[in-house]
Amino acid sequence: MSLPRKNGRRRRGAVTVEMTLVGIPLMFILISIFEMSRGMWMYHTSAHAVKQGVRTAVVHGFNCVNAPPGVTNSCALTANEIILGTTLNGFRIEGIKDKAVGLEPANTLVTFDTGNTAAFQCKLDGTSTSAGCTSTWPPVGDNNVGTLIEIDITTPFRSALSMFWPGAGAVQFGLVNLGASSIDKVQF
Amino acid sequence: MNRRRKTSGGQAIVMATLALMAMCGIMGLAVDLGWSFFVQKQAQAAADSAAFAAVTEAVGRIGSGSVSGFTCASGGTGSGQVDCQTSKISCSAVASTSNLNNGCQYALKNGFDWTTTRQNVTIESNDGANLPPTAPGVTNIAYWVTVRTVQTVPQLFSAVANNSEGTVSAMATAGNVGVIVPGSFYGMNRRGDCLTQADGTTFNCGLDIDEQASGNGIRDCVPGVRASLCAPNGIVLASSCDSGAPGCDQNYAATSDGDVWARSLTIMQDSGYQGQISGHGTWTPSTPSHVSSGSSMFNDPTAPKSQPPLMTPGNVMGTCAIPHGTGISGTVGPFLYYSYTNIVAGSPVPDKSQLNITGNTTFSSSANCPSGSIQTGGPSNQTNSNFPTYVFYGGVNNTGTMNISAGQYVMAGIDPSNSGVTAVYQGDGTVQAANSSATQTGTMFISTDSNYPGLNLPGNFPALNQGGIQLKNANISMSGLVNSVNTGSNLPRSMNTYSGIAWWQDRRNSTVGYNQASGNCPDCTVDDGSVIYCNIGCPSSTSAKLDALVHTTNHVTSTSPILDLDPGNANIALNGVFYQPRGAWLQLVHGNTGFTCAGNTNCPLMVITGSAVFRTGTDSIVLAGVTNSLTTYKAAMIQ
Repeated sequence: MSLPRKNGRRRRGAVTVEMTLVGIPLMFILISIFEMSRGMWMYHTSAHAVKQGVRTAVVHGFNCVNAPPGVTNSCALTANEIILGTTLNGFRIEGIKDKAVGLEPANTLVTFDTGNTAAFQCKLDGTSTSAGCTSTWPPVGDNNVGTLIEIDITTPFRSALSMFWPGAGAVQFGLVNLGASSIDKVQF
Repeated sequence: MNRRRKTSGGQAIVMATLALMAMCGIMGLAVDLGWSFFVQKQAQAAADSAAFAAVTEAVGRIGSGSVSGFTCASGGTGSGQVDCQTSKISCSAVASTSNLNNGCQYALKNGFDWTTTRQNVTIESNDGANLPPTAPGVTNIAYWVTVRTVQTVPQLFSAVANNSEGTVSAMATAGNVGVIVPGSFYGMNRRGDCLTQADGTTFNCGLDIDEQASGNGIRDCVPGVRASLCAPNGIVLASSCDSGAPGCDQNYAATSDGDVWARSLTIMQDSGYQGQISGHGTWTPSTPSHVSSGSSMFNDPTAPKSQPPLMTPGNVMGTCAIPHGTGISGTVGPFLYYSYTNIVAGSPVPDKSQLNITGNTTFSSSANCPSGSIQTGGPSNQTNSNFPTYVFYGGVNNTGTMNISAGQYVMAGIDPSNSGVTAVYQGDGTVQAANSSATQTGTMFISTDSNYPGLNLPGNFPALNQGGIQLKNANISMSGLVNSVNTGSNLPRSMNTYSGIAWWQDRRNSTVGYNQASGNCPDCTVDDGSVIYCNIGCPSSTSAKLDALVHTTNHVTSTSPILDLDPGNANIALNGVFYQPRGAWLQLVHGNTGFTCAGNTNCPLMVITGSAVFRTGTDSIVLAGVTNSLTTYKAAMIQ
């Protein structure tokens, strides 16, 4: 009678040890899967948003700006409008922010680059007031059909993954900046 | 013991289950959303290619220059027609002969099959009178197509949260749209293209800019910059002349002793030679960007347009026979003007002499012939009273003032036997806008011979020669055609493809052979602005002989392609586009000649020519950015 109990106790201890031995790596794996998934989700979202942003920008180039009276198009967008979207003649042109669900607008930076003029950054919440963010983009001179334009996005990703990093010390949730970029030629 | 074992095992299962739920959720975000983004990219690619393909096919059927007058209805599915669907329809309802079917096929090739339950492609289209709601702000459209692609995506991990399906969609709009031709100054002459002096000798072969005036910075160009050639929207030179290149008088594509300023400077590179710049002046930018000769930017920027058609042919409009030597003055109407000496069988016989505008002459769409002349027909013979055609058979010597209103002013040739007359338009006189129609709708000045395409003079009008333009102290101010989408413009929509153009020199008046629809040239196919005969690099290798043949047919003399501002202080104030064909040239000599607009400002002008020569004096071409620019209609993505 005492033998099975003894054995049972031993087994119970073994289960605890096994749980400890298996559980820690298991939790590591679980949290890793969780965090990797979250990171991939954020990366996919930012890459998609920035691609849509460039798609919008390339069809609002030279021929939207340099207009009257030969051509009376008025469809130019400012950098902030590319970020926030805008409504023209009752039609909603979606912005990067509309596509960037789940990113932190106040901490996400969007970089506008035409290669010739200096690149500048605007916040995803559309509050940047620098001259670049509030003026037409791509700017006159860099908006000819065929010009390569680029929009980059960097968004902070605070991951629990990094607490497993050896040598990370007291850092609990490390900060990684996820970046995505998209390049296309001005079409119109 | 068993119970305890079971209990601890159960905890693990509960934990694992809970973790699995959370994991499925988050992996759903990563995997399912990622997959959706991927499908969305495919959907966008399918929509983009479908919209572009449908418009490209439409342009192929009706021509890029057709901005109105084509069949556009839901039944417009014939070979020369385009399909207009005012409300969106599925591709399954698109006729196989429709241009929209091309779009549907492209969507299919990109993986979107509207016959399946998971996918659909819808399409919507119309002409420029009904603008696309999906591309706000774009007004200058001849035809447009909007394509929407939709796909439902089955979910893998997200299905746990009861989202078994997600919907992905994309939309694209393309159109045959008016786009601005970039650049402020075009020099189109290439290696082997020469200018001709009055004595018949050639010079400046392959030289696109020859600025000999050394005054640095003659006029303000952009703030803080003075220049003698200022082209804010850029310079494009088609010469590839450099050291040792054949067909080049000098080792350069352009030379300037004055300062040149442009936002961009693009020069041709061709079979090992690349166009170089020189001179004592400062070039900004100092280094040109070289582009291969295959690039379309070195073609005539007005291609593939045909030459501007005349609204009313010469055999339809009324005529004014002016007694030989009598000046034209007063208020006069839209007619075919010609000089006569004799009257045979009751009708005046054209004597091919130059017409003289002597007094203050106002051209009005509703007026009659000047007093003392013989009138047949009336202003009502014009096809379009808002944009009438005035034809001057024998050319014009203007010593008075021409007050012009909206319309086309055609200088139709000179008599080669009339010694001393080499220009279809010459004089010290003034040309100016008479009323708001001249600036709101625009005016077009055409210099040509008596055989301009579509001119169709009556049979008793003998053929005349091409002539140049010779201006002395003349002041000319004109506004190019204003696109009909602008408020106040009465331009016929069919002419919108020529909007911007103020000054047009016949392409046939050139030292190279342009393609044309018919005539005594064996390789001619269509009037599309392409050059088929020239000395170096033209499609026809034995083109020198054929080129000479074409000159004879076109009534071109060795010096007729010139526009000469000499001597004096001639000034051309143009708003829009100044056009001379490749093989023609612009010469500024002596005095303060050039392009200056009202208030001593730089003209908002695009200068297209073969070559520009600046001689003595303070000649300059200082331009502002174009505001009534050359546009070309082509298929483009607009949203």
